[in-house]
Amino acid sequence: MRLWRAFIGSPKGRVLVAAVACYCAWQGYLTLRAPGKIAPSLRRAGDRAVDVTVTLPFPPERFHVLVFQRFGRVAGTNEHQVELRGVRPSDLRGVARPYWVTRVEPLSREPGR
Amino acid sequence: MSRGGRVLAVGLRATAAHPGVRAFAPFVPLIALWAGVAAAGLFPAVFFPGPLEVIMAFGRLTYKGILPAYLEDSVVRLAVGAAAGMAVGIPLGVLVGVSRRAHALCWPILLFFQAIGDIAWLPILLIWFGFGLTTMTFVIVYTVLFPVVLNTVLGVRSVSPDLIRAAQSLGAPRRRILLEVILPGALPNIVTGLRNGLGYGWRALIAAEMIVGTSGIGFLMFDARRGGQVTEILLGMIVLGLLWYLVDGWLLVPLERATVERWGLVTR
Repeated sequence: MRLWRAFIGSPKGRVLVAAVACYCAWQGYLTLRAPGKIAPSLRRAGDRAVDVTVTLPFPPERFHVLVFQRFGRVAGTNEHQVELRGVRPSDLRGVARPYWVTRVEPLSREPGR
Repeated sequence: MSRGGRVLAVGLRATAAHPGVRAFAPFVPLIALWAGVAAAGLFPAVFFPGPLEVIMAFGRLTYKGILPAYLEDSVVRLAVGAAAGMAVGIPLGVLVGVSRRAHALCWPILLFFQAIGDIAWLPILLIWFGFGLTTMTFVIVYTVLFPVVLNTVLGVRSVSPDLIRAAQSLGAPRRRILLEVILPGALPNIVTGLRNGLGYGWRALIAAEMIVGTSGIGFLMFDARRGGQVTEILLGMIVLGLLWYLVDGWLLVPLERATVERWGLVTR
């Protein structure tokens, strides 16, 4: 306990605690912000898997494709968008959570593109 | 005093007053030299980019979410591996240090495996566990383990027998002698072992990420070679150095100061 008080009492300790608090606040913000990026029609999808288009503010790279592969099958990329198939509705928030995702919408293009 | 001298004096006072500035000050000539050589065009810019290009790469990779995600992966791997290494290493070190029988049994084995470097394990680990988190965690735990164990043994064995005999003569049971005499006496060495172990673990993690990883700062640097992205490689190196500086200077040194230094077990 004394060690913890000494840690909090030091300037470095306070900076570290503030940094951890900022990190937690940022994560909380991302969690709260995620549902707003999902199109309303996807929220009404029920239990069945959905095909979605994820929009980014930049052309997707391998890193982004690998991230989305955790949630479904990446069918292709198109300028600033990634087409993702077979996403469970419970995973939609995970898809929308990264700060570099701007929009998650139903896939409107022809399949197999 | 000339204007330049006054500016220098103000700069020196600011350096002395603020620890953050004091820590950064030695890097200023280094960065200036780097920027100067890059600006002079002695080497092609694609092979030797300047600090500004590296800062821009930092901004670009952060904007795309790549750097934060990889940094988080590396830090989590180090934390998990180091915690496991310490959880095994400190009790094992105490046991080997306290018990003659355990020492006779374990010491040759410890020395044998210490000689087999972490990277030497990678071929067999890849066959056993594949390219994944288990392989990397094993490498970090293995790397952290030996400095922690060997330093803990050294610490336990360097506790004065007079202190132990004094505690025994006062009627202290073995558990209290261990907790109140041996462990505090061994603590300077344990903390040294932790600092060394974490440092080696950090290096081992980067090497493992380069060879078996699909994410992390080591992977970022190794992957950047494919496109000849020297800026990303330099950025990775700077992130590694900064992160270790923060871990050591902001966590391990204060821990050492709050424990063994405050107790007078070591002096600066």
